Amino acid sequence: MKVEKATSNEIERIKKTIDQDFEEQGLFDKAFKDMEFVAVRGRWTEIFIFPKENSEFLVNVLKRYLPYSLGICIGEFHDKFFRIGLEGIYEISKYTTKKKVWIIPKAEQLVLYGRDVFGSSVSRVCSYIKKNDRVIVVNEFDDPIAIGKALVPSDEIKEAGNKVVIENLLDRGWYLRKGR
Amino acid sequence: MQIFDYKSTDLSKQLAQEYGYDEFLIRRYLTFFGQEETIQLLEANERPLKTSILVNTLRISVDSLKSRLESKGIKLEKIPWIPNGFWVLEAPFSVGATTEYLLGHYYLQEAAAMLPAFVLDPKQNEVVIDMCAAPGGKTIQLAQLMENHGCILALEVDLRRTKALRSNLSRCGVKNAIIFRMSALDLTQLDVQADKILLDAPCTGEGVIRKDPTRKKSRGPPDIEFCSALQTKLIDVAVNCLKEGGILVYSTCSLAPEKNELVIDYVIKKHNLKVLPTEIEVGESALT
Ligand SMILES: C[S@@+](CC[C@H](N)C(=O)[O-])C[C@H]1O[C@@H](n2cnc3c(N)ncnc32)[C@H](O)[C@@H]1O
Repeated sequence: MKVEKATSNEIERIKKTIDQDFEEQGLFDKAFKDMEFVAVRGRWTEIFIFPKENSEFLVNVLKRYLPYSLGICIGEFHDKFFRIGLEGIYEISKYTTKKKVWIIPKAEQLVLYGRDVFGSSVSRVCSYIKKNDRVIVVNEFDDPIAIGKALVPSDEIKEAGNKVVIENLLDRGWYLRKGR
Repeated sequence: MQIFDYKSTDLSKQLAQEYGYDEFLIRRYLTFFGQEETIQLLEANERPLKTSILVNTLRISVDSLKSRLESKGIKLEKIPWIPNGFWVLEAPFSVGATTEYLLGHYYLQEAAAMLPAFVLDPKQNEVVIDMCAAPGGKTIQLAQLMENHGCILALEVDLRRTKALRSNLSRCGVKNAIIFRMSALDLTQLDVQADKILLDAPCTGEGVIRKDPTRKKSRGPPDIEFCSALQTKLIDVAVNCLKEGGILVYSTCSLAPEKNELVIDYVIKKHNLKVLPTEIEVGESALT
């Protein structure tokens, strides 16, 4: 395992992935202002954020002992592809309204149990979603509870009734199922 | 190391039998606290522990979380000594599995365990070491007090517990911590001089009898001796990694003076440390 500052190439790729996937100009810059990016390289590469104000201190400590983890992990690189994780989504969610699907309170627990989202569970949807887009599934308070993949475009989502419209890729119930 | 033990009496035998304790512990309680307080303590240990939560102000305000939980039928009561701590009086479902829990809006922590980090009072620009950190309740609290600035070095020796530590810090959005899976006895290897250190010492203590009643019997002299020796070594290391003028908070979940007063006494004499008042209004003075 190796821990080091992420390369500028990696950071550029994260920025591009996030800004493009969520179609929100400057989203990356807003969400990760003042953050240092650190790569932990094992079988794959995990990307962590840590306050930039202490990056010199961090780099010095890293020279002396390999950490288990630091800051929060916002996603992973698999080959050249950056895949955003639960906390990455949490960080960007408050800076965007595009690619969001709001669900009704009754559906919240089901999603947190790993279930997909039915059309009838959606209370509101933004108008920018295309089929296969990554979407942020949020509850009535706009809290991001899952990352999903749209199976139909925006205008078909609410019409779909008891058909699955968003595939649940990763939800915060993960913390109970795996993250203990 | 001296382990305090006292003569058996009819009362110690009777209480040990009645409450299901190793008589050794009762003999000690009677000597340290007197009859009345001992019985109060034994009675208190029979009452179930009230669940309590600490609101994670890194993610939500106290008022917003309170109204959200209350609208779900959860009844809360403010813990007087901690600004964002609440007892859960009633909950229609487990508070360890709500949406708000999964979003890191709060975490479960015993009311008394909310004190050490609060007393340490870390500031935004400081370097703080949390020497025995998992599962992380106090680390999260430190990060809140520092508003995710400065830096926390969180150490934990046990791999499974280190994993839980990472997961809890991540769920609660703690950005300013570095987790090391290592023995805090090796802390000097990091070559860091901290402004503040929290040593929440491992102790398998009697303080958690309400959660784990087997501890009424399983904590004899060898256990006390083992823990006390480890704690003494850990606190020595802590002092060596503290900046001149730095502050160390030492906490345990035990009532045994060999793990508390004696450890503190040893370290203040050896390193000529100054004891500071905590300015909190709960608790009892130590034995002297
Ligand atoms: C009382 S618990 C800490 C609770 C924690 N501070 C919290 O608030 O969640 C003590 C921890 O110390 C760990 N521990 C035991 N020996 C250690 C050592 N030598 N170095 C670091 N951690 C140690 C234990 O595995 C245990 O997780």
